[in-house]
Amino acid sequence: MGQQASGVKREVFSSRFAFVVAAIGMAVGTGNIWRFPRDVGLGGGGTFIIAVVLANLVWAIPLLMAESLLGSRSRLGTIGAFRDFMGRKFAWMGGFMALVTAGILFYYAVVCGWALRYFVYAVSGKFTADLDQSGTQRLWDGFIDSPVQTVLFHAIAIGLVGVVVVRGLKGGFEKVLNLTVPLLFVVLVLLAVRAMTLPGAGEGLRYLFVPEWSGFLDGTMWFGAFVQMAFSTGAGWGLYLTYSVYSRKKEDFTLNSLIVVSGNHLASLLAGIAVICTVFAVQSTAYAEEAVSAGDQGLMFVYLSALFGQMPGGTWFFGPLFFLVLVLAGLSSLIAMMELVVRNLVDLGIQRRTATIAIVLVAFVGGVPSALNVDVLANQDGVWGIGLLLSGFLAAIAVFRYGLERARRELNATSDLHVGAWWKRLMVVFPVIFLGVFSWFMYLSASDPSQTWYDPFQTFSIATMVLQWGIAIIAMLLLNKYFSTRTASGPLTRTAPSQHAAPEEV
Amino acid sequence: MDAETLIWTLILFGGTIAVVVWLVSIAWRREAAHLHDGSDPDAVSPADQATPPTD
Repeated sequence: MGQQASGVKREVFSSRFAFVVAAIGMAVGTGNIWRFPRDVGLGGGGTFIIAVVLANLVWAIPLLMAESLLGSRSRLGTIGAFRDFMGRKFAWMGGFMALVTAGILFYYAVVCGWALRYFVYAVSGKFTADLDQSGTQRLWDGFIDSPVQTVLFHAIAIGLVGVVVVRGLKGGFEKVLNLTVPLLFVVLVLLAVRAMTLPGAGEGLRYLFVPEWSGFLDGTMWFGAFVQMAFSTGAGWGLYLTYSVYSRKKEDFTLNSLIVVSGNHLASLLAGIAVICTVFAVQSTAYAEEAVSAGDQGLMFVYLSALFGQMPGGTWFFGPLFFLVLVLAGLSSLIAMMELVVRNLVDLGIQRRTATIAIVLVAFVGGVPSALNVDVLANQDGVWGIGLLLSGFLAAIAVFRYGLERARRELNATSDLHVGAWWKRLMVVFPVIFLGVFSWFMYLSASDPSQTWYDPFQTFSIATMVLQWGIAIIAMLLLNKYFSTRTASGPLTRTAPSQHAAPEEV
Repeated sequence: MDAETLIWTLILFGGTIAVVVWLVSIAWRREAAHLHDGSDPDAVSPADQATPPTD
């Protein structure tokens, strides 16, 4: 175990395997399981996959490398990293990043609660041949309209993650993720192999992989690919930054970023095969196309759930495995989100146990509105989901201020794979891509006939986003002095202004 | 399954598997080399002694 510059003991991942596994667990979430298959289908199959690969290369990999530098050099969470890379006036940016992730944590715990509930349904043999699509629709409606159930499973999800995070790295999330992330891949492979061997699965593979060349001229397809990539890899969220705080000093961040992004992409493809091939094989093409148009929850909880009873071994084996994958993917991402917030509180001098309990309680209360009303959840998904793009932009700014050449040299100092000038060029291009994707989101919101863009009380309006981001930014600006003086010192901190060094546990 | 589907599945899915295996094998060899030469990846590196940025 190493020693931080301030003399504070720090924990590090036991091995590269442990770090990479945790980072892949952070990246692979419910979006890989239910959003990616839908997006691929709607985006033109192989055309969309090729676009996602390009988006990974020009956005996700350079940004994850930048985040790894922020975390590993500062040895502090997002607030401390921004303070030490940007200067004391900019600690609020790290606070904004943490707040955006906290906003997602609140409603994402609700989604994980749904997955847990359906896992319980599945292992209790609910999805039999008698339960058709109208039956699964009634089941979903009954569940989502039951406040007791949605709030209870939200509480269970957030409680489970709290139990892991409170134990810190070694006894907590490293140990759990070392087990659950490989298990997630094993189950995904099982499901994909089973789906590919179903009679008629070839139609699903065609739907997924054969490109429609005209799609490359479709701006919406490219936009969808960048959005899928940005939300799927976790690049720019601060989660990879947070795990990098626990990285060994000589860690190859270039190679690790490549493995994380390609591992996340592989998980998406496996999930795509498992979901789409099953739907195409067990039902008609018309049913399959209706299913992928039914929204994320509709595809998984209504259409796919109705098929398990029609598959050999579906009720008792493959159904539970599907929802186990969803639970594992969701909780592994939720662990990273909670750790990001807890890490910042620990840096501010709060004991991990106290910080975790506080975040569990706040996340529970903060998620209740989303648990009670799916429109609130959709609003939060839009506001903080797009807010993540802003977070990524801030991470890029921090590295610009630090100096791209200097950052590249430091990445090379610990990387076996040489980081060439390409990385600097991609980082320079990043703000342009960000501006394009962000503007497109705003355009979509403004041109949506169901929304009045200036009404802050509508689900997807521009005003609701700007209002909530604005409140978050103002709150963080007001707290900037507190953040910059109270956050513990790290190796890059110029002076030692911290009145409260981080406690022994980090 | 028709030939076109097979080819594109091999390119896009098989290609991803090949890339993951290749990258993991590189990482595996690097870790093995560290173990072999006894170098500690958590030892202080020059980059860790970087000067702090100016405010």
